[in-house]
Amino acid sequence: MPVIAYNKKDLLKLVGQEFSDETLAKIIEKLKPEVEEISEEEIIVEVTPDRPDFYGVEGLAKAIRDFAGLKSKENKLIKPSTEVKVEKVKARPYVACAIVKNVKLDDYLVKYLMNLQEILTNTIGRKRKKVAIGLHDLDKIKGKIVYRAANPDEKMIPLGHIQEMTLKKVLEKTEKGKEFAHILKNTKQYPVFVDEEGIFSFPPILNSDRTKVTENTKNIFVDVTGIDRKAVMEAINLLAFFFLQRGWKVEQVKMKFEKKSYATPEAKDQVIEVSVDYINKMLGTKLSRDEIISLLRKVGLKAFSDDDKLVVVVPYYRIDVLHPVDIVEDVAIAYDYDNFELELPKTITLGKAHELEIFSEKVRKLMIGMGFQEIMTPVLTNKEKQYKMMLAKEEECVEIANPVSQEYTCMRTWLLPNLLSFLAKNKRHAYPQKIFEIGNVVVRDDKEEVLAKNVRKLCFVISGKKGTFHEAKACLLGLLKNLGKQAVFDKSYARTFIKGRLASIFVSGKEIGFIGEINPEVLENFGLEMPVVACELNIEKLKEL
Amino acid sequence: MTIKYELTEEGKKFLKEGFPENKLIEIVEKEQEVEISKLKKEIDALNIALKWAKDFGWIRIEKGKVFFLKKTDNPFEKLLKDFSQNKPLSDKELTMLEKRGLIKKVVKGIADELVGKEVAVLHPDLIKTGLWRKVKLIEYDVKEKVEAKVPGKEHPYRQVINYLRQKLIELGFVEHFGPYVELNFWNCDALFMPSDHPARGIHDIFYVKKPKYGKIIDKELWRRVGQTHKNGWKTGSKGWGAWDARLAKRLILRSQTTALSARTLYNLPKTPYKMFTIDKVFRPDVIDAKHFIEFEQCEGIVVDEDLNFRNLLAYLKEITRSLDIEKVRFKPSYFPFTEPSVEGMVWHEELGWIEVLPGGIFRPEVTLPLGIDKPVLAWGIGIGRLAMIKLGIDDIRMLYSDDLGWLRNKELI
Repeated sequence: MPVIAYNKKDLLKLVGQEFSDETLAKIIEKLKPEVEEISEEEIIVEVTPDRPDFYGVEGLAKAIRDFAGLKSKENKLIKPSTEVKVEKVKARPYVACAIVKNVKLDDYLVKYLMNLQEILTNTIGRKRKKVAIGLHDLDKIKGKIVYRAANPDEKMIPLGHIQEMTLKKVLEKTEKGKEFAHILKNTKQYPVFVDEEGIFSFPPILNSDRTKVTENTKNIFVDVTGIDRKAVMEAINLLAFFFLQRGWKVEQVKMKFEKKSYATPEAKDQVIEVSVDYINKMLGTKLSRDEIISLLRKVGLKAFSDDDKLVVVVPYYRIDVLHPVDIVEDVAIAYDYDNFELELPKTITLGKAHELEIFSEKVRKLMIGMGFQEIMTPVLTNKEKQYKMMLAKEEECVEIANPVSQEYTCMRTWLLPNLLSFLAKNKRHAYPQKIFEIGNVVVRDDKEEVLAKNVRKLCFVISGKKGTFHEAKACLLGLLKNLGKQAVFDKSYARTFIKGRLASIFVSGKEIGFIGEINPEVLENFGLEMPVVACELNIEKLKEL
Repeated sequence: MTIKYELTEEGKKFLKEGFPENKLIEIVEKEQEVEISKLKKEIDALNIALKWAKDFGWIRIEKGKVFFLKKTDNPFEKLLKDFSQNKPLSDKELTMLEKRGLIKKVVKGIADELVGKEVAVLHPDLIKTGLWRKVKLIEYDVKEKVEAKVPGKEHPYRQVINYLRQKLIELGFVEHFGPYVELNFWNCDALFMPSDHPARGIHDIFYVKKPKYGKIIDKELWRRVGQTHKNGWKTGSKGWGAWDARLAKRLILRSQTTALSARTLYNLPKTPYKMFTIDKVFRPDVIDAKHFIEFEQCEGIVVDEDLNFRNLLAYLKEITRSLDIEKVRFKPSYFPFTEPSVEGMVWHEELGWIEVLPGGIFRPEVTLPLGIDKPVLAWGIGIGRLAMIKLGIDDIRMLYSDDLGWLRNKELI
């Protein structure tokens, strides 16, 4: 979720009224965003992604104004006087532009605009992939504007450079080029805006140095491009909303395609119908139609009554509203979460623990009774530890395509390796060390919807000078006896264990696990210096026998 | 343990005073013929003396008189003397003495060796033989330093988890479990998270290397969910305008237990119903004191007719109360699958208000395609955070502690 540092002075100026830090924070939190810090200069807020209209300080200011009951001026868009010719650009087919007139910029505002553009392209723009935004000094753009596909050899002077370079070079040499080149990796037809003097914008990579916005810029040209029409329109609408709220004049631009044309930003409100009854039923309230209408006004929504139905005008910048239920939340926010009277429903249901958990709990109690310490280790691990260090045959396990660490690349198929590495980390503590874990492993299973399943297992180990096979077997028998199970042992062989000191365990004719003394070579792999006997059981299976 | 013999009281007496039959024969030899009544005055154990003298063939008894026949050595006299001088006797000889009650068997053991000594351990033999009376049990330094015993214990985190489980069962919630390997469909799509939602990228979800795609069991369900994403289906929603069915089939490690809530709603056994789970989820993240790539989530849903927002807040409050937290506040929040959404904050004396209790009412875009036309309250608890507070630790890695010393020494909650 974006964390945004708003300039406090600018925010209060836009709100048009002074508030103490405390009141300001209180109002903002009631509106949903979370205030993280207020300093002399800044107010740092975490904004939820459903409200991109708060990404600009102007949007937050408007919401505060509405909530505090202050009046807002409604600024309208100016009809288009500029045209952009749009050609076919396969890599980024959707485009929208706008013009902002007679702005007075200073150092703060120039930086603010760059930052705003960054926040929007990172969020609804999905890091420029879905939507990219460019701001330009309109007065530096000469003649007709065309959005078209350019080949990699065409040239421009990228922002912050003085030398002309090819688009190919821009991708290879500039910082932004290197960062975002992957978005254009499947095309040689690069999207560009050109005027009489050449390329002045290379979305989604870089603007030209020639048209850069400075403190002296009086009129701004905004370009928005992307791969999703809806998102492109939402972005240009949001920008228009922010600029209008700042009191700037925003002029539409005519987007002229080969066969059609339309003006952007469209900034079209939608209407949504909600019944009073639906709102009250969802919230457990008894609000009248008029009460709801005035509550909605507090959160910036106009509503009209039409019999039992309310017709709510959802402004174009509220892109989060998909369903009447979204209006219900707005009523709740306006009503104030602190004002709801809590009421537990009367219905009684019977609680129940999961059978596997009940069985696990029995096993746990018995292990503890025999003096074992429970440990809990991660499910994620790596194949080196699971198999190679154990001298075990590699099993088909669930591996991660995008691991964040070499330590955790797959899911465990048995618990024992984790218990051995636990012992290895605790050599300084007193022996004998008797530990156990009850936990899930994940095994492949093609019968399952997800081609894998969790299996609940128990593993216990005894390490110490007197850690004998027979002691572990005695513990196992004690465990099984108290669970009402009888075991049969069968001699087995695996390299993980000392030859002749490994047994498979059978209950009711089904193999449920093993018990054995660890091969010294495995002990060496883990850096262990004390003998270890171990037992691992499938307790999910055991439970059913 | 060894078996030994010792003199009986009678044996000791005869050794000292001589055998009664010896006294008898001396008198009878001198007199040759003696009235029994007269002998009564002279000899204490007359019956015993008469028995043995007769057995040895020393005397004859007739009409109240004892007549002298002969005098030979008394075999018991030598044996008793040898025994008292610790000369070795045969088993037969010992049995003779024992039968006459001159010696008796005693169990000799550790106890005897301890007699008269100062001892620390009260040996069971001392109690059995009563010899504890003849030893001095030394006094201990009760203030002496002693190494603490290492008891078998639950993991501290398990204690917190089980405490919470118990409370939720008491509140009427039924425990469920779901798979760690999950379809994107249940983890995201069924929860109305748009296909290009930022939290679905490789930085927020672990993708399974291979096989990449799972199975579609209920095609009709997939169609409903897909339509809901594209145009809202019959839910009254606008939808997101797009849906990537192939992405929905992708296998992942579940990043939220809400995947299980979606599964439970789809297979809902009955209404009203309350489900909870406390189990692992997985997310790519930096690994440090505050973050780990797998952690436990606790979440629950309540399905019933006519549930509302006030009920939701009441449940959240009830859950925190069951954890002994009284001070709770609610603020608006956002989750893609709930509306209205709420964040429950609890008061912590040192940390202030902390967010541990997100919740909401599932969106119609979530419930209707799963076949549920009733309100569903949903909530989760940041259990790792809660456990850290309860256990007084500030490093999340301690929840999966590698430190046996900490586990052994950590007191119970």
